[in-house]
Amino acid sequence: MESPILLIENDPYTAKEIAEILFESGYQSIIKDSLQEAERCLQDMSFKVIIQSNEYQQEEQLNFIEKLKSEQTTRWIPLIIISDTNNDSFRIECFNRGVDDFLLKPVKPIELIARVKGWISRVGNLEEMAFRDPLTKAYNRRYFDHQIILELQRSQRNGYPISLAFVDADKFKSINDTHGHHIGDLVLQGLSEILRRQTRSVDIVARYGGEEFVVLMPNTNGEQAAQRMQDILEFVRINPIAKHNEKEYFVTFSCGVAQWITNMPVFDWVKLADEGVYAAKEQGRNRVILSKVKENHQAIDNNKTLIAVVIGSKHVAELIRTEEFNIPLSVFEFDKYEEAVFQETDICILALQKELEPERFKKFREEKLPRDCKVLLVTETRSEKDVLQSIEAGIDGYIRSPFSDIDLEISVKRLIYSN
Amino acid sequence: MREWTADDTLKMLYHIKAPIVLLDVSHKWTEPSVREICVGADEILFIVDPLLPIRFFRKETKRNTDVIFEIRNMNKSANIIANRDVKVPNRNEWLKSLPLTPLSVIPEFPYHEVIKSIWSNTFITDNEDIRNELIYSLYGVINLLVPKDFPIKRLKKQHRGGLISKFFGG
Repeated sequence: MESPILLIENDPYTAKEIAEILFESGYQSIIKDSLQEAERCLQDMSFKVIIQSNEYQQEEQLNFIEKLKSEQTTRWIPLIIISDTNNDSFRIECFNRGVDDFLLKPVKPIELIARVKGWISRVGNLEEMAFRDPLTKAYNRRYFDHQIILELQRSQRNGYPISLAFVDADKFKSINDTHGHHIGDLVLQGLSEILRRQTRSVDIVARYGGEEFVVLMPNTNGEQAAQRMQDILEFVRINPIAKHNEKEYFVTFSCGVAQWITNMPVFDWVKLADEGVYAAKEQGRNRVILSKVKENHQAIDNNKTLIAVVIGSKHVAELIRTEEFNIPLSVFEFDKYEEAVFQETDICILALQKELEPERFKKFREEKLPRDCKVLLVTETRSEKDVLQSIEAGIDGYIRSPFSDIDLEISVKRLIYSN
Repeated sequence: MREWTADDTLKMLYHIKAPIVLLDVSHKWTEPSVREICVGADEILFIVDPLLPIRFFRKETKRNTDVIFEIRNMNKSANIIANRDVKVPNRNEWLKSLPLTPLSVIPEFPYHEVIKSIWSNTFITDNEDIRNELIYSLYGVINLLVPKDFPIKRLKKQHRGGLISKFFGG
């Protein structure tokens, strides 16, 4: 169903009259007779436009506008005020707080419709282009990545729980292979529509990639989120997700749900929900799994002594061995690439008097360095070419001689603490 | 007309077809709308300079820089660039006082060169020595932002101002 227009009006006759005008132009309305009722309704439904036509205390009205326009989920909805109050300072203050349009009574029906249409086409298209996945109309990955952080901040501020569900359509590949990509697309569109329809307007449904969707559920704990997803799963088990040439297509999904816990990085949170999907697949698909955090999932050994291999500079090896260097390192020293023999290393410091030979370095890296070993090049050359070819060759850090102790310390720390 | 919001800025930025879109938010990163934009960025770089001693120990400044850690706690990339570095006796003290190890340390370029380039309508990177120094100092930033398979060497002589202006100068 297309989103309706929210009409806030306490006089039932006026409300009916405006609703009829809108209906004649093809717009459904939901009527609420108070700002409080409207706020509650906005938490559960999404709307194309909000029309607020009755008079309130100015301060109450301005606060309502401000709240609406500060909320991520409602700020995009065009807000039109229809008012009896012909007062410049009030009207200007309404605009300052974020009102999109202001009409003085009496309003010509044709003008109201023209304005509503204009707002829907402008805002609808903008949002569509920037934040929606064109196939499924769900939010895109970019929007989700941005929004998950904002919603997380909000939940931290307000102290309420927040949960994430990862949804993966079951046997989607075989749908594509058996019925063709066109049906595959219809199935994705259908799943997206059901997810959006069966969740609240404050929830964010996004296409994460391929046949994967995510549902971000603010103010919802893990159990509630899992229950909500279970309800949706039961719905898709018995209702067709797509129809084509009178044939009905059904699809189930595997879903992982995770509630955010304090200090958990977003990446780990998404991964935790995703692990639920894998668990659900392993257990036979078509189910919802609530992922629990493992107790020591974030244990990081900060006191570990790192192993450094220095090739070609006694001076550098001596410097990084000193106590002032302030990084616990076990240092092994070699004169040349070819002489270097070691089992494992976290950092390799390569001191060269001439420009880097990319092929020689590549061979050395492939044969001797572990995959996640970071490389710092200490060089005496000053050419731009050497800098650029070092970047291309995958050298992680680069420092020119002569350097001071602090420069070397920063260069090594940068390698250790970079993401 | 309604007020221009952080969301509008984000939408506008997403429409720019360039390899790297750089938004300078000046010193306003603690303002809620600017903060929202920062949180949406792929990389956030804080430029610091040594003009005010004790800067990073002040309570108010600490509050301002806490945002770096908040962002990093969310697994987003936030880094510091130490700018206008000069070889003075307190240099170590300054660099060690920074809340994070800087991604790049950029030296202070001669003031007369900066003014000369502004008045002659050229890029400061048209000066070969400065460009060379800048590319060297920005190694950490370039390494972070430029995709690993990008043929970076090919760019260097193609564009006025070289690599820096290709990526950041337009």
